[in-house]
Amino acid sequence: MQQIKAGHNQTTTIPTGLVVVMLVALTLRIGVKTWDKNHPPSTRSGIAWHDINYLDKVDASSKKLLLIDFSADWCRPCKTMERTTFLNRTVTEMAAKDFEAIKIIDRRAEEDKNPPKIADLYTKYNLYGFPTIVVALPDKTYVDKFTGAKSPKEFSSFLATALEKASKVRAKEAMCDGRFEDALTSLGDYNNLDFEKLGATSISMISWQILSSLHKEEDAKKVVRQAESYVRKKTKIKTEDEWPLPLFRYMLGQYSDKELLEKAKSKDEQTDAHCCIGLKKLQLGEKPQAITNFMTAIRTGYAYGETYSLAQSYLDKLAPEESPNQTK
Amino acid sequence: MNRAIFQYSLFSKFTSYIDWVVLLAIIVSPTLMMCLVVYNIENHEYKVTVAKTLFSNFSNSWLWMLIAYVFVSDALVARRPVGDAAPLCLLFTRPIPRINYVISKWLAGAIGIFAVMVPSAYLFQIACLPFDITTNFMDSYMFAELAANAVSYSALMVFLHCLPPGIGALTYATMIGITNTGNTLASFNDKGDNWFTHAMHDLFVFLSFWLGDFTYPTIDVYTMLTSVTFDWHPVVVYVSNIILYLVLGTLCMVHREFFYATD
Repeated sequence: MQQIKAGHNQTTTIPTGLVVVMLVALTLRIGVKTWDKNHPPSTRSGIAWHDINYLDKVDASSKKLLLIDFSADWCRPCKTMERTTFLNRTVTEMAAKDFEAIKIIDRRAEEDKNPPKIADLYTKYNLYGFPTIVVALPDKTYVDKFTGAKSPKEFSSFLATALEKASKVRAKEAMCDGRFEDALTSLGDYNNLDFEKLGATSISMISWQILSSLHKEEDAKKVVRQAESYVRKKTKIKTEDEWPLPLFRYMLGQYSDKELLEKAKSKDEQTDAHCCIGLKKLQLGEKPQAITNFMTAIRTGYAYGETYSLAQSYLDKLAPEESPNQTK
Repeated sequence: MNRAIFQYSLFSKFTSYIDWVVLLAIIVSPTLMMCLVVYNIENHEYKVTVAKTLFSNFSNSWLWMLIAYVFVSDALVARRPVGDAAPLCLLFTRPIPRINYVISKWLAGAIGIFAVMVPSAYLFQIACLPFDITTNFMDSYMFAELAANAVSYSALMVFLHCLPPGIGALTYATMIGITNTGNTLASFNDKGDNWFTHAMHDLFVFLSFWLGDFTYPTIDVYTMLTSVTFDWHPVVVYVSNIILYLVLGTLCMVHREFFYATD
């Protein structure tokens, strides 16, 4: 104990041991923080990131997906993710197994503009903030993305969903090219589709189109019924006219084009309806009418919708001159 | 540790049914909030996302600071803001070493918060079931995190409680202000166009870097234990935070006893 004099002719005792403990804790803390500042988490072992030039070296037929991290030196949430999520064991294992990881650092704050290669990717993937993680097929076709920091659990869940969505995107691409057998292979086990991850409306439309085109009408209807059952279970359906039930009715052959369009009230519903009618027209070999429906779907809807993207993919193949060619 | 102070802080002081009603209300509040939000959502996927988001901040919620205050201070049972009267009267009338007082309050607070956190978390988990949300929120990592954060919240509150009345709240408000301003400024690369804004930017970022993790004394156990390389940084910050809070709290008590006449 150390005696100190503190005025008013009084003395008190300062516990020396406690002061020593505090100083040791402070010193240790300053040391670790200084070391950490000089050895940022991005330099430690975790996901093996490549730079943007690696994009040109990726084999377009590779089974691995692209995992593109758009980051910036000044971005705090990006640094948080480097320290937490990108060092997580599950995340690093998933990234190594199924993804080619590419990190792109924004240079606009430091150099006023980005190299053209990076700027093109910003436009292609519609970037608006950092960190943004994009998952794409090896040919750079968009699969999924998110903006903002995610915890390790959320990020591994995002990667798992992206892997499922990639099979849907691959199936959609092959379907739009008319390669229905390849599309069916990409789709995988169509009797056990994960509607929660893939979206019941869009995946049922894609599966219905692929199976119907391969003359598996009963299987196509089975998938639609499964999607309908999933929607009924997961949402509070109040009336039979509630969206997307009319879509399922249409795919099961219980509604005509006119009846379906009458049930579609909002813009999103009209996009769904026109896209679905377009698919039906293609099944019937009525290509000009299908193009008209896909164009109407795009003119009506918003660019973030799944069916908008489906209509656009078909338009890109059937009538590229008519397509707005906005890659989502 | 002093057993009398420990027992009084943890349970003896809660004599009125109002104290228990308040504690029960705090236990139920995260679940109630989740139910109110999720009930009005129709899309199941969105329900799950919302429940996960609400629970993601469960272990480092401001609510537990309040709980820590309920156990560490006597404000709730006294039905008024209690400053220094209770601890100083106690210390003047009994030969209790200051460190014992601080440690007793700290342990009582930690056990008290943990005893409230765990039922609250399980209640949240159970309340998810009627909404068909089957996510397992309470894994072993979360359990460990609740315990770890209870320990650090309690230490912070003991430190603030040992400061003179009003100074504790002011100190913490200042710490939060500096940390949040620094974090916000660090997220903008634009430092302004004159030397003053440059200097202020650099000052707050500097203060936030060195003092920021003194403000939020939580630790992410899941991230720490599932990392491919063990990160010592959060562990050292966490442990040194607790040591600093407790030692500073003790020193405050010694100092305040000495200056009691002017307090």
